[in-house]
Amino acid sequence: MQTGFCYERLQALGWCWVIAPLVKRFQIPNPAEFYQKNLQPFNANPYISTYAVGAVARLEEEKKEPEEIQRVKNSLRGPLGSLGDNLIWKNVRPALLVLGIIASGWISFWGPILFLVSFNAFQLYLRGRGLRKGFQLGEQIFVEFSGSFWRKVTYFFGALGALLLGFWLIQKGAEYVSWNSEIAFIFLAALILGLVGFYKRISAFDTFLLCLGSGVVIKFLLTFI
Amino acid sequence: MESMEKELILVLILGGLASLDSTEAFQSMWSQPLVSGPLIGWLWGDLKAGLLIGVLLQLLWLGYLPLGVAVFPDAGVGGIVGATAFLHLQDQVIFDFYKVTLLILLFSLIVSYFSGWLILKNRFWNVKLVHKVEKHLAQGRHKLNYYFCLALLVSFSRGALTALLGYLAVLFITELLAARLAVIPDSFFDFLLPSVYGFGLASLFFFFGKLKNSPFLLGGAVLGLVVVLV
Repeated sequence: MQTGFCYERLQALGWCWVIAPLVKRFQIPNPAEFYQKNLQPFNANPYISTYAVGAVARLEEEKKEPEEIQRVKNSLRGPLGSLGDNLIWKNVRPALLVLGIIASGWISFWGPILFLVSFNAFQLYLRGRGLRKGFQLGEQIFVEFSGSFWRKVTYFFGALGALLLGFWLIQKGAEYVSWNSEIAFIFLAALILGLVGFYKRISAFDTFLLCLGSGVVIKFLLTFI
Repeated sequence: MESMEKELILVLILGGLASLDSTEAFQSMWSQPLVSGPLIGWLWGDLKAGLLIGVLLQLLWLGYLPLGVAVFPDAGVGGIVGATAFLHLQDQVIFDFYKVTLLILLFSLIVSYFSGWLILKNRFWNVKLVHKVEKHLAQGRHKLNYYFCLALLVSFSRGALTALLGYLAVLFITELLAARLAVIPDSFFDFLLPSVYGFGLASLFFFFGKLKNSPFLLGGAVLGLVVVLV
């Protein structure tokens, strides 16, 4: 869906490629006209863009007017963007990455495999569900977004992420305390400065330099003074 | 890995594929350093080292959100560059772990921002592709597959070349600076791991440090404490 992304038409090129099978399925008489209609700006989180694909497929099957199909497509941009980004980028991805990182400390390379398998199992389920629900509901697809599924799934991954974060924090803190107090102090300083950086919306690069810089300063002070 | 040629081919191919996975196609997350690091390590014959550098690189990009028009770091290409550079330099006779890893992390991060900037430029260039498709459609022809594949090829090439140039640059600069820093003992740089982990953990609070998550955060901390004490 993201292929050929540009700031003028957004995902339009990818969208056209994704819905290309509809030309054959619904025996659309003029494919060039069909693609031209669908080359309008469209944007959605790629993992849940299939909701729009399913809904449009249903509307094409019902031979709805092109203006109505375009209206539904445009109306889907907001929910599919915000829901998807909130779910995938802010909850699923970081939670499963932390799971993979923690697991790698115990089960070596199976940790990254765990992350890869769990993420892709979920994202494929989401895409399949989107296609199914989109086709089932058609222009009523908006009902789906006020359902409890999104709330529950986001809550689940948020809770998982928080649980793993708390666990990892103590694990790492205890590890560094067992090394020596200097290393533990550096870890604490980096953590606090990192928190300040992220909450003050300082760029990630600058925050990283801040954390490293604090390590250099503490090391210097403790070594030479 | 025995020869530089094989390393360069590896970087080219994986850099291109990682670029596709990050943005244009698949989005299966194999390009995340947590996965690509061990993958490169396995191909290199040192899975453990690949996993180590993969985890460290992943900590740099745990908190990024690829939204909007802002330049976001390209973790895919940055991870490939960092992991390969680390494994290459690890084979050197004298390998100061902390010093070299610090330099690799820093410069891989810079390469990732550069790659992210190129992604934005690529997106501006893609407008031409869409206009060409539109022009053909107006003439009653559609060359959708051709331009779609062209967009994929451009993205692959962008990632491959960025990874290759980034890899060579990171190797050159790291070797140069590591030599300059030879007077400072490697043990001075042992602040690296706690600093990187502190940064990575702090970035996660951005997502999970909300009030509604606090019971789970505390629960996880208690669980961690139990595991540590037991």
